[in-house]
Amino acid sequence: MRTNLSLLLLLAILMALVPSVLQGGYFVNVAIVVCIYVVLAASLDLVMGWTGMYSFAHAAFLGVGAYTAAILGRDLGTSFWINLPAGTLVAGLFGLLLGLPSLRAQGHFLAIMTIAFQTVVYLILAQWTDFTGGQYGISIDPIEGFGSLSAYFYLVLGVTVVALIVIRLLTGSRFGDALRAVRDDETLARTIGMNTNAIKLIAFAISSSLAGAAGVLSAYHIRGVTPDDYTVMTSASIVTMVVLGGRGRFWGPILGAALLVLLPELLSGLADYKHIFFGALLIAVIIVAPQGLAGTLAQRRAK
Amino acid sequence: MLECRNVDAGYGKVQILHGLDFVVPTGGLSAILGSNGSGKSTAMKTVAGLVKPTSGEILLDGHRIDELGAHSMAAEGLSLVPQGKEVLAGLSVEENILVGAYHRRKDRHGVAEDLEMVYQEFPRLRTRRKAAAGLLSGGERQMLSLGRALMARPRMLLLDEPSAALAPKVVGEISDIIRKLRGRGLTMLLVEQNVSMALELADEIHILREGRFAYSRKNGPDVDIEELREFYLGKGRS
Repeated sequence: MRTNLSLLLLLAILMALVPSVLQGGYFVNVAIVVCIYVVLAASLDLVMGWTGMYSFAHAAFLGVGAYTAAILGRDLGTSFWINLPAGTLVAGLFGLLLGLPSLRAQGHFLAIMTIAFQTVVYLILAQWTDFTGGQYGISIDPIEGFGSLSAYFYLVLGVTVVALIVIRLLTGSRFGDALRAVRDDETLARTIGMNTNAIKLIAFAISSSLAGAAGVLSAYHIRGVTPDDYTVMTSASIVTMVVLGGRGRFWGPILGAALLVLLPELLSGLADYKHIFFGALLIAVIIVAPQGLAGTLAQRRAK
Repeated sequence: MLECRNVDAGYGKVQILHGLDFVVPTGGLSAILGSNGSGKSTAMKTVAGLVKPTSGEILLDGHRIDELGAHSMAAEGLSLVPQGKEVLAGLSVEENILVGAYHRRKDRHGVAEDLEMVYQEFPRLRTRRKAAAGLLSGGERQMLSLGRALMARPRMLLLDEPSAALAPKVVGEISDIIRKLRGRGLTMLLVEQNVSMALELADEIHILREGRFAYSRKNGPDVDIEELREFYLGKGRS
């Protein structure tokens, strides 16, 4: 656990050098997007990798967080420092709601229900024009004192590190054992004395609240929200990041998110075909290396 | 002491158990025998709280447990060793054992002591403690399941077909362990298909057929094995 956290801090320090070493706004923008997707992938992994529940609704929580910030800012004039915890909290409550079907359904059936949930959230964002601004969305003012891109990047990096530390501490605790027990054998977990219903609901709530925080960060980055950023395609991309990086491992989703944000940037011709590429990659990884990159590396080392 | 009083149970509208009524006295070992589909597993799940009885009551040491739900059973002193030697395949052997003490979070000292006790009882688990539990053999998994159940410091142990799919030599080892645990005063309910194992270990034998006890006797030298076989195989009167 210690090595993981020290390595994380080292990486964060290296990341912090991006604005001064790589001149120009482009790199800082990419670094912000990497951070946001790292939070998304790592938080989805709590539910997917650690607890074994596939969710294709993570972008819905991203959207709930983003829209909470945008609507509060528009209607009540609240600042980022209120909107961030508010977006986190509201997304967590929606997460509890999605957690409810997980108490009855498992595997593919649960995955299908998460797609339905994702679709409903998208439709509300797109159709409830009076409240959400419909397809035009809502614009967001920059945060006072964080108007410059590099200042905002440091803020995002800070939140990312905090989110990752929270995830690391949770998964390394008794609660982490309970998550893995639910994943490996839910009935057995119950007979050991674990309240598996409560454990699954808490996993969904924490996972989606972190996605909500990522949503607030991304909304302030883009300085606005529009429903098309929060579709099932985004959800599927996050799933691909987790699977590619390696499920149920601290570094897995971090690696997967960084790679899948950077690759389309490096191969700029790829950007238009991103989702085709992601889909093919997802299938390939599941066939060739179901443990993902981190899992395969760990297995190599163990041999 | 475990008491099942006139318990009916099933899934949805399908009733599996009809008026199950038996007592396992403190320190005793009762066996429920039955072939596939007789309701054995449902009986075990009902006692373990995984299936709720539709009527009747279940008491452990005079205290109702049938309305609590499976996750409260460990704290009540009842531990299940599930069928199929189920282990948490993604966790290490030691993590699997420790997870058995999940509800004893404040008792660190006691948990460390009990871990040592489990390792002394099952030396093979100590040598493999870092290995992923999914890599263990059938016999080792059964030992791991028993070790994990003991970590809860139970007063009562439910053993769901501990001999299933094991080599005869390993079945002998498991029987020895069960006998040893009995010597320590643990109350046990054994559900089995293996008649000779039940005859060897139990004080009382019940045969379950179509969700009802077709046969219930004290075990002893006067048990007529032919009669027992007939009930078990379904030729006798029910």
